[in-house]
Amino acid sequence: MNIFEKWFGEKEITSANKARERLQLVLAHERTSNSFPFMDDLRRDMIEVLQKYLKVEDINIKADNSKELNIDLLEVEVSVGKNVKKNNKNRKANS
Amino acid sequence: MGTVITVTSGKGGVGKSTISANLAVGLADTLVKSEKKVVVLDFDIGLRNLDMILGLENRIVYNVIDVMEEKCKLSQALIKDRFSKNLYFLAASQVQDKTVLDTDKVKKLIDELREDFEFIIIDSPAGIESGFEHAILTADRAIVIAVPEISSVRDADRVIAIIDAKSLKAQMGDEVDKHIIINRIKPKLIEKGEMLSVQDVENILTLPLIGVIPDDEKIVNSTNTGEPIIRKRKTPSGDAIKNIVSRILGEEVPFMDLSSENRFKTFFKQWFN
Repeated sequence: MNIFEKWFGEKEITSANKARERLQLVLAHERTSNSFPFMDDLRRDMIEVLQKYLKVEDINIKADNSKELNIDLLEVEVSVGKNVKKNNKNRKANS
Repeated sequence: MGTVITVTSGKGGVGKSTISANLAVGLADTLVKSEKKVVVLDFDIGLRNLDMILGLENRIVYNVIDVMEEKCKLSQALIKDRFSKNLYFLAASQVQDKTVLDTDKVKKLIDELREDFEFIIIDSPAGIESGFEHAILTADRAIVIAVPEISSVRDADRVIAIIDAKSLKAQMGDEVDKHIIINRIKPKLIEKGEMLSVQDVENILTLPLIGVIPDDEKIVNSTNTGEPIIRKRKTPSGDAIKNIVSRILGEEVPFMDLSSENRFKTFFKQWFN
């Protein structure tokens, strides 16, 4: 972190943080593919449909297996346009 | 007609994917003005990693197996790089099914790529099983990566011995153009006599050298962020790979004097002590 970032209180983004984030994303995706083997096909189909209407950069589908709910949850995150990271449209669908 | 360069090593963890990614970026950036294109293929079926080194892991829709099984067109599976507009990437599949790759399909895919791309870089999986055989099948050139350690040099020697036996080029009576890269060199250890020198490895493997890459801590950072190190200025490993790119393109570039940096440092140490 340089001194300016310290003064202005910006959050430190080290490359290790980036590595952690990227790994979490990729592993979440791959683990989901393991429990739902059709996931890649589903993702492809969704991209195809969404691209009719939007410029879709990326689609992430996460399975939520938390025991609190009595249902399996699939969370779909759609990135639209350029440099959109956190303000994605979130859609949830029950599987 | 494009040239197929297979990057292989026998032993895992010696830097095959990192070097493949960086060579591909380097070649693409050098050829950008002549409008020639470069593609890099991950052949490590079931254990893909090249995508993360290139920072393209979120863009994968189709992979190399989908193309071979004709689930999609080749053009749909080719992922365009974020920065180099003439660089493309074809991902390995994450599903481990070794039966899906077969010789004819690999040949067909590479023939198709040869028409469009000046260089086709294939990142081979570790080992000498079918994945390696498919990676080397269509190679015009092979770059064998070794680190100056006993197990790596031994495995590299094994691989060199079987490259020709597994390649189509050799079956046609020709020979695959083979070179070695010695990676992760630690000049200090070599000077202390605690690591095999470049000369040692070169003599043992009896293949011409195409590059020496010093051990570089900055590689970790570059893999963390998915930005190949060759794009960063003044990094020892990035500069070494730039030299290799020039040599692949036929230029004669002198080998990096890895000990000079060391001498420079000791000079300063003496001065300040």
